[in-house]
Parts: sequence; structure tokens; C-alpha cells
Amino acid sequence: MAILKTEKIIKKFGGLVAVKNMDFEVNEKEIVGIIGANGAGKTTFFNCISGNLEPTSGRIIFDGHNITKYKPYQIAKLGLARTFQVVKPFANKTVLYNVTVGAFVKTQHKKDAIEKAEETINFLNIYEKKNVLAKNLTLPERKRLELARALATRPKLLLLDEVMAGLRPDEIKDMLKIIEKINNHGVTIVIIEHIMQVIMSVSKRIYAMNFGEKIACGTPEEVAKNKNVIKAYLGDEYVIS
Amino acid sequence: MKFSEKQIKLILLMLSAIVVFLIPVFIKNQGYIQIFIVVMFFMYIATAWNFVGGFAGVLPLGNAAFIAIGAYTSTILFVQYGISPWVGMLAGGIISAIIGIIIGLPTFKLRGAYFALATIAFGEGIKVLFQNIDKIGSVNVGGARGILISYSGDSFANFQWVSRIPYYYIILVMLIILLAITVFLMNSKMGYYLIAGGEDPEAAASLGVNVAKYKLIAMALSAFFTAIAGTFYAQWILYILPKSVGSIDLSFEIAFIAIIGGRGTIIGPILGALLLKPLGELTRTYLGGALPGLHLFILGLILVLVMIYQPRGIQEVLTKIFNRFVKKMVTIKRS
Amino acid sequence: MGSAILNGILMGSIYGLTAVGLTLIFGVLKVINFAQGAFLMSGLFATYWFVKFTGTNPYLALVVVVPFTYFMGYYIQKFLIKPVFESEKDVREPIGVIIVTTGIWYMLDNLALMLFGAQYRTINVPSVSKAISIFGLYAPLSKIIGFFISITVSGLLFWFLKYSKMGKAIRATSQDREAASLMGINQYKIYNVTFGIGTAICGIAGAVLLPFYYVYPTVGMHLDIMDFVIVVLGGLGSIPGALVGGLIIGLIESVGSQFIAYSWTIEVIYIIFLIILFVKPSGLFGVKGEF
Repeated sequence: MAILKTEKIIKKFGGLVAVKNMDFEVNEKEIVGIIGANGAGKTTFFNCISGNLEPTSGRIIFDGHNITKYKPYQIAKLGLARTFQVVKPFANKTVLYNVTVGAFVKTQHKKDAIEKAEETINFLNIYEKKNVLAKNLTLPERKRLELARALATRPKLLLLDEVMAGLRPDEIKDMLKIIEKINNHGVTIVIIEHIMQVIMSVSKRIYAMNFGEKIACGTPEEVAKNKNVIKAYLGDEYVIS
Repeated sequence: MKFSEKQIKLILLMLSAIVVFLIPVFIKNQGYIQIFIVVMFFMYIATAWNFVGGFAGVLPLGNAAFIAIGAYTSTILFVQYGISPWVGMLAGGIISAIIGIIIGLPTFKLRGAYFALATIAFGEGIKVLFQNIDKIGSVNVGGARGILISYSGDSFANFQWVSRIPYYYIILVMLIILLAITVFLMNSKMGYYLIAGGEDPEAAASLGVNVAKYKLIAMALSAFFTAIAGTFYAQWILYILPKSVGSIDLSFEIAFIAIIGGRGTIIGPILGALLLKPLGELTRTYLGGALPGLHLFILGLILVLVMIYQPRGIQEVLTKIFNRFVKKMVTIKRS
Repeated sequence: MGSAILNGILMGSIYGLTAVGLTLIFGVLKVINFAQGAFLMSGLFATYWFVKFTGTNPYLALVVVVPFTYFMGYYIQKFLIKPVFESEKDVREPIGVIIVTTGIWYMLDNLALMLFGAQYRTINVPSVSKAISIFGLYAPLSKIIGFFISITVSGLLFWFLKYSKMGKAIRATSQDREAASLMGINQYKIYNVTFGIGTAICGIAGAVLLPFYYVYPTVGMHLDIMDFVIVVLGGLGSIPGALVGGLIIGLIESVGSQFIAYSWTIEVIYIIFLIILFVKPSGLFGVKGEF
């Protein structure tokens, strides 16, 4: 069953069409990847789903609600969480504080929220950092914090915007394990990434975008073999290992 | 006997509370009591400012307008209609909160610098309005001359005393209540959401925080409590005029005290007022004749230095020293 | 009435000039310089003392006043503002810089108070204080000279930004800090220069204002708030906007005073300001999405 569905999403900035007629579907408990070169419109598409941008036209259905015109906080409350490509921690607050903000979505009580936050921090293996100020974290830690905060809202669906950019290969491996672990707990995941191998290994289905349009969709193998994708995204100098 | 750090802190807090409550018993000099009132008055209004200027992460520079609204509401009600200032205090607070929300609705959409400018224009606009209006119908507003509250004998209902001591206890209780509310809020969902929205509105929204709503609540609270201080001021001085209760200098001073102390912290406005007000009064009293403006020059200098070297305010260093001191106390007791 | 319009235009152009300095600094650094009024006060005092000591013409004072205010702005930016600017360059809503400039404002105003006292001072320049007639309307020569200097300085600044090498670097930095620094432009140097120029413009405004104005330590305060209104009205960051905004405010002030008390015209200006902030914060000439 589809938990998230977009119909003919168009987003224009002045004369520039950043997203063109995106039809997109995610089933419950799936991991779906979106690939595309820089400027292909992936993040803009994400921003439309999460409410940070209002689409020029089209419809977005999440978990039975038409969220097309919802504000970001309303969408987050419905159980659709996201991370940002450029991480946005509450810099002067501790890791625990950051995550507790997320946990407050489901409760009014500080005690509950902190309990949930600690659980989440533990789940992501950053428990020993819980009293460190967010501004003093390293990049991989900040990426985890970003993920922990989103996860603390106990989302049904998680949009991950390049959570692996800037990480070293061993750190990427850890992150992949975490993503799979989250998915095993029943959270549907949509992930944007331009490191091809990463997204191939974790996604069950992949959408490829170019110049704001969907150019292919299917299993990783199908997409990798698709001529449009090879031409548009990989170019000639790329070789799939 | 052994105490934990938490217990020592609690004991020190209780001790200082006792000292503060006993000060009027031992210090009989009304002049000194007056200085204590000034200090606590500024602690109070800087704490109220902190709701918006500290926790919500923007820079309001027109808070004197709320003091003016509070002072004028209760004074007009009292002088013209004989309504107790205590009732007027509540009325002024509510009117102020409503105006705060009306002003907040459009201004919170603006970015930092624009918000600061809008609040300056609002503050000055209110002051000029009070200066320009002599009468509304039969209601005497006083224009630039202000309103004098005549003394009609010591009375709780009339909020009037010759002695300064009742004022001392009233502002002390007001301060304690406001601090308690602040502590409670900061440990609640509201506080977490407010601070998150102040640090990064976009990230907060993605976590389900209705940033605009929480900022408006903060604005309403800040305006309400600031206006209450306006009524206190009116009954304490028994004379209000637009230049004293609504001036831009007052608006700036409130912000400076909280910023130098450490905005967005509970202790910041307290420390700021504790340091700056006595320093200002002393320089003005002893050097003001030879060097008028020295106290404001020093204020500007401290502000610049704090922003360069201690952008989170002097509370950061002082809290560290205090914590080290408490730790030492623990080890001393144990050994 | 005609004279009121003429005087409004003349005065407005000088308001516009002070606002040009403010808007230039905002356009490049994205910082609202609250010390702008204090810089104007410094320009007024510098001109005053120059005229007092040399006994010459206030316009000659520009030779001294312009470098004095330029370097004052340059070094204030370099030593006081830059550290704060750097520490919060990742902050979405930088407030620390506003606070620092406010602190500088307090320091300069009260330094002047300690040095020169609170009294109002004027200079008497008979050669320019006489009224002359333009199409049958009368205005003092000093205001007319002020008008032409304001327009010339704004024009020169516009030309400088458009065609000189430094001007191009300033514009590049204002559009994209990172890209400009990648292209080898030292952004902090640019900020120092921009701040210097913005301050020097205030110095020039002080020199042209003094013959028909007065100077005292907090003279900048009134003009400061007026400047904020002007730059927002014209669109923060827009130089033509600042001039047009200055003219509009000058006209409201002088024509309005014909009908209502001066203190009410001030109220009208605040209300217009708030309406613009709420309805169209980009102002008349501003760039959308900047606010």
C-alpha cells in the first residue's frame, strides 16, 4: 500500500521549472532512492513533500491526507520527518536537548520526551555524546544528530537528504547499517544520494531525475541499465563497479 | 556531614533568598533601599524581555512601549476613575499582551534586522502618540507633561506608601514569580519549542514545531509582564511621562542588560542588572558631574567587549566559576 | 506651500545622502549599522571644529572630514565589528553585529558629550545662509549647495560601484560572499572599505548639514531613526531607493508641518514605516526575498 504518493508535482521559480510532472509513489516499509546529478531537482522535490516549498501545481497524499498545502510543522506532526542536506542543529544546545525537541511531538511531558530522546540517541550509538553541545560535534556526529532528531518524532516516513555526503567510506558503512536498522523497525525511507553505489545497495526501488523530470524508475538493476540514466546521470566517464 | 552539588546549590539559593528578604530589616536607609528596587526592577523587565529577545531568538528594541502602556492604563484608570492600580495592572497587562500579538503577527515574519527596526518604530510610535495626545474625550492623557498621581495616604488598595519598603517587597515578589514562571516554561514543551524556533526556525518546523505560534505566545507573555512593571513604576514614582516610561533609551537599556548578562539564559538578566545598574548609578553619582555620559560610554564599551569576547554574556564565565566553587565545597565537606 | 515643497526636496536629498551610507553598508555586509547617526554626529563635530579653528568655509572641511570619517569607519569595522561578524557568519539571523554597532553608537555619542558638553552649537556662515530665489521660491543657499553635493556624491558612488575595480569587487562581494572570496577577493578588506565609504558619506552629510543645522552629542539619534525609515522605504541595499526615500520623507516632514503639528508628522512617518515593513518589506526598490 502506498504511504506517500505525489501526482504531477510541478515547481517553478519564476521562469525556471525545477520540478516537472513528478509522479512518485512509496509503499509502506520500503526504502526508495532518488538519484540525479546536482541541480536535477531532487532537493526541491523533497522540499515540496516536506512543506518547505509549496508546489506550483499537483497533489501530495501522505498516509491518507492531502498534504499539498500543509505547513512543515503540520506535516511533521502527521509522521513525515526529514533531514536537511546542510545540517541544521540547534548549535548552542546539547545533543539530548536537540533530540528532545523532536520527541515532544508525541508527548506533553518533559520526562517522556527525554526518555524517548535517550532511547533514540542510544539507538543511533551516540549516547556518550548526549551532553555535548551540538556545535562541538564532528560532521559525522552532526549527521547522526540530524537523523536522531528526525527519528525522535517517531515518523512513519523519513526523508533523508544526502545524509552520507562528506562521510568517509567506513562512516558510510555505519550509516547504511543504521538506515537498515531504522527500516527494520518499520519506518519507510526515501533517500536522496548522489553516491551511486550507496543508494544501489540499500534501496529496493530507485527513481532517477534529470532537469526536474523523472527519467527512470525501477529496481536498482533496472535503473542502472536504463539508457536515459546512463546518458543523463552517469555520463561516459562513470563506470559502475 | 556531606552534601551533593545539587544540595549545596539549593542551600546557597535559600541563603541568598533569606538575605534578600531580610535586607530591609537591617538597612534602614531609604536611599539604599531605592537602589535595590531599581536593580530588581531592571532584573524583572530584562527577564520579561528575555522571553522574546532571548528564547525566541530575535531582538526587540521597543519594550518601553509596553511599560508605557501598563503605566498609562493603570494610572488613567486610577486617577480618573478611582479604580485600584492592582486592577489597572491586570488591565494594562492584558491590553499590552493583545497589542504585543497584533505587533508580533506581522513582525515575526521579518528577518532579524527588520524585526529590530519594526520594534524601534513601534516603541517610538507609542511614545510620540502619548506625547501628542492631551485628552481623549474627557480622559486626560497629559501629553508631553505626563500625569502626576497624587498621594492620598498609605494604602494597599491604592498601591501607595511613603516608605520604600513595601515597594521593595512587591518588586521582589514580582521578580520571584516571574523567575519561577521562566524556570517552569524552560522545562516545558513550550520552552523547548521556543528555543528551537529561535535557534533555527526551519529545523524546528521540520520537527513539528509551530514556530510562529510559540513566538506569539512568548510575545504576549513578555508584553503582559513588562506592562505590569509599568504599573509598578507609576505607583512607585507617582509620576509618569512619555519620556520616562516610553523612551528608546529605556528600551535599549532593557535589551543591553539582558544581552550583557546573557540572553536566552535564566540567570543572564539577573546578573546583567546586578552588574550594570549599581555601576551606572555609582559612576553617575560620583563622576556624572565632571563627566556626564561616562556611565553610558562604559555601558557601550562593555556591550562591545562582551559581544566580541563573550557573545553568550557574562553568565558563561560566572556560571563556570560558581560551579567550580560548588565542586570545591563538595570536596572540602568530604575531607 | 511651494517653499515647503522646495525645502522638503532639499532637506530630503541630504537625508537621502545619510541613508545612502547606511544602505551601502547593508547591501554589502547585510548589517544594519545602528551607529550611523553617531557617525553623522562625528562628521558634524569634525566640520564644526575645522571651521572654528581655521575660520574658513565648511565645505573646505571636506578635505579633512572625509578621510577622518573614512578611517574611523574602516578601523571600527576592522577591530570591533569584524570579530563578531566572523563568529556568527553561519547564523541565519545575525543579531550580534547589530548589538555591537549599537554599543559603538553609545560610545561615540557619550564620548562627544564628555569632550564637548551637551550644548547646541552652530556656525554662522553669512555667505551661504542668505535665501536665494528659484522660480520665485526661496531657500537658503546652504541647502541648495547641500542638495547638489548630495546628488553628486550619490552619483559618484554609483559610478564608482559600477565601473571602478574596487567598486566591482564590492558588488561581487555583496552578491555572493563565498564566490567572491573564491575569486581571490579578500571579503574582509572589502567590508572595511565599504564601512569606510559608508562612514565617509556620513561625514560629507555632516559638512553640508552644519551651515543650517546645529550639532550636539545626540544629534544623530533623530536622524538615525529617520534613516532607518528611509532605507526601508526605498528598499534596503538600494542606493537610488535611499535617495528617493530621503526625498519622500523630507517632503512629508516639511509639507506635513504645514497642516499638522511637527510631532504628528513624525507619528505619520512611523506609521508609514510600520505599514511598509508589514506590507512590502522589500521597499520601493529593494530586492525581493532579501528580508
